[in-house]
Amino acid sequence: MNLLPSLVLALGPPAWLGGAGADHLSVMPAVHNWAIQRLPAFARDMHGTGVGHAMAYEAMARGEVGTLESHTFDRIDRVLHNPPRNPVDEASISPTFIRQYGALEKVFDWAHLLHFQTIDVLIHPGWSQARRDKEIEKLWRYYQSQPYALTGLPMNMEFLSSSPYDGAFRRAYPKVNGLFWGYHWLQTAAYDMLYEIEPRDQISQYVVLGDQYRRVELYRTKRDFMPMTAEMSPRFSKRFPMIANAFDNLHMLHDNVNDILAQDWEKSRKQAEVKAAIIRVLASTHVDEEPGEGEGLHDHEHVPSVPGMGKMKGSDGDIMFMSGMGWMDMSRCAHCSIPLPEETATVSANGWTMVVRCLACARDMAAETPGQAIIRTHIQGSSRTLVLISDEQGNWQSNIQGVVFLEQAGEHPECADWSRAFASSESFDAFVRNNQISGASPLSLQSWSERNLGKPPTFRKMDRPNPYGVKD
Amino acid sequence: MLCLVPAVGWAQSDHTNVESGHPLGFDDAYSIGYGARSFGFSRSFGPENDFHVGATYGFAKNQDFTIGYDTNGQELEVSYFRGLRREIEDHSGLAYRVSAQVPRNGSAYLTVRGIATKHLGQYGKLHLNVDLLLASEGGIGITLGYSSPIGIPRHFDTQFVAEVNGSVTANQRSTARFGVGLRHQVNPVTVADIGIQVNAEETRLKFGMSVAF
Repeated sequence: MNLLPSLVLALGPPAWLGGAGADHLSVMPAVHNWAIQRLPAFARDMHGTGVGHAMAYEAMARGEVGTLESHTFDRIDRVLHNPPRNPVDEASISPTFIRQYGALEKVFDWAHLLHFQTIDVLIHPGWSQARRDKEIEKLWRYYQSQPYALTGLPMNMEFLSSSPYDGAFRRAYPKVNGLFWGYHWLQTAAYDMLYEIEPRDQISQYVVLGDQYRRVELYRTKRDFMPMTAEMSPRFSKRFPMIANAFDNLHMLHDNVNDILAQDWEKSRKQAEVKAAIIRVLASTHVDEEPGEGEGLHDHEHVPSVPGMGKMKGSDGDIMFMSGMGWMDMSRCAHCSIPLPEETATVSANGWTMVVRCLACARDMAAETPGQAIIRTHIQGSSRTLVLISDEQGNWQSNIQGVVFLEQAGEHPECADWSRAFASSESFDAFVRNNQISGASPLSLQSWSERNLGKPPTFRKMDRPNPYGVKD
Repeated sequence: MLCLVPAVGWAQSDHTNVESGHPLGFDDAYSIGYGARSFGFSRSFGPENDFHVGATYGFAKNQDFTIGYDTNGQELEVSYFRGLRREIEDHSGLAYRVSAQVPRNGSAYLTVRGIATKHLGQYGKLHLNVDLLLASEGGIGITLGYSSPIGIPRHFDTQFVAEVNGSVTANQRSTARFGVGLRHQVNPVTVADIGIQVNAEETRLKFGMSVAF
């Protein structure tokens, strides 16, 4: 049995938490730094999230919580509609907060650098995916080399949100909490927009996602729970579960801090509670612990099919409640309820992203949802990830010219075999020939778009009560 | 003439982190980030035109090292900065800098600078710099600097800076100087600065730039 975590807590906080140094850190020197600026609209929105965080914290530190839902919200909202071109120094916007919670700033800043540098790697042009993956692993080691690093283990989200003061902030300040969760939506949804996607195919997706962020996600006031990285970016989270977990732990720390600052307590008590919240999610608190093991604070159980997501409230094995979608079985296709194969597609619409078995499931699930949608999947005959984007009327555009589709509707347990995309007619012909599929002819994007197989008979909706008791 | 303000053009690529030489002569109490590397230059126009160039490396937390060169005095300059404490609650941030200047002609001299930074109002900051010149002609200088972001809550990329400096050397020669300037974040890794310094003898216009690499 590993006694270190309990020793860490028993011996008191890590020394740096009480340290007087500013301890400013730099990004890891790298050629990809600030590649995010190549996607200007995305970069500006990301920089705006820093302003939003800082302005809200400054108001709370100055005892101006009464202005949060009015004056402070309006100030933040104005910036979010005219976000800065360059990254902002949050300390210069929230100086009072920083003087009171300097240790927290170190944790936030260090995790935010990981956010930005991971994004930079995914945007930097000219690298193979293998090189990007290797660089992200290097970034993770760099991140973990500092004591301010958050754990990459899945944490029990129900446990972390079980304090007596949990939810105080979102109940009292729903509009500003909506902004916080909107920022976290953007930060978590971005990874699948970028991961395994060539830089030339990233901008077109942000036209859709950026609009969703600015128009809808920032102003949702009745989410059930904060956006989780593996919900928003399942492909990235599957490859880098430790990073997905670290971001979720970071966002949970934000929530905990918000709830603490919303209390009518003496400042010294708030400072002590914030330090305790930091310690709960530090990597140093969970040294040598393993995913899937432990209990309470050290419960690192995860949704079995999703190693990049800690146990959620009410979750039972792979079955969990997803905000906006209801109860889902994460091991099964969100559209046909058949177990997911190794190769899958994702469909993003109306703020959610779901993993599905095949392109027919993706298309038909998108058609059920008003608004634009994005489908991402690997494709036969090309190393380039297929990105399909639909308009409001369901007209799809592809990033790969000449894409053709196989769709010979059959039983859904085999849909991953009869619904596929190909980079060219040649790769279609080769697949049909090698798999001895008779009577198949390639469908153009237009013909494929016009199809709709409806809701599969295999679909099973789980009817259980909302564990969060929130209705949107 | 010996200068009582370390002229090292060190290079900080965050416009809010005030640095000596870009464009004025005072420091705040914060080092460049650990692991950060940056390069900077500063050009000044007056009776004598100066050009400073320098590179800074944050080799440890709260510590950095700078090496620079001044073409006018033909001085090699090296500088060590150490942040002792960040600003916490009502307590000032504290730091010191030790700079050595090695002129091509003449003897080397050392300047030790003590630095305190404290907020004045919500966003403005006061920076007190006290310089001790350790040379054959010793002296003391005091600079009161001020910095404040311009544009909050709409813009976040420009910092106003101002300074008042007085110094006296061992032979009772005293000088006073006033300066104002701006630091502007051009892009995530570049800060441009412009300023003007005035004393009884000269008016000096300054331009500079710092780039992280």
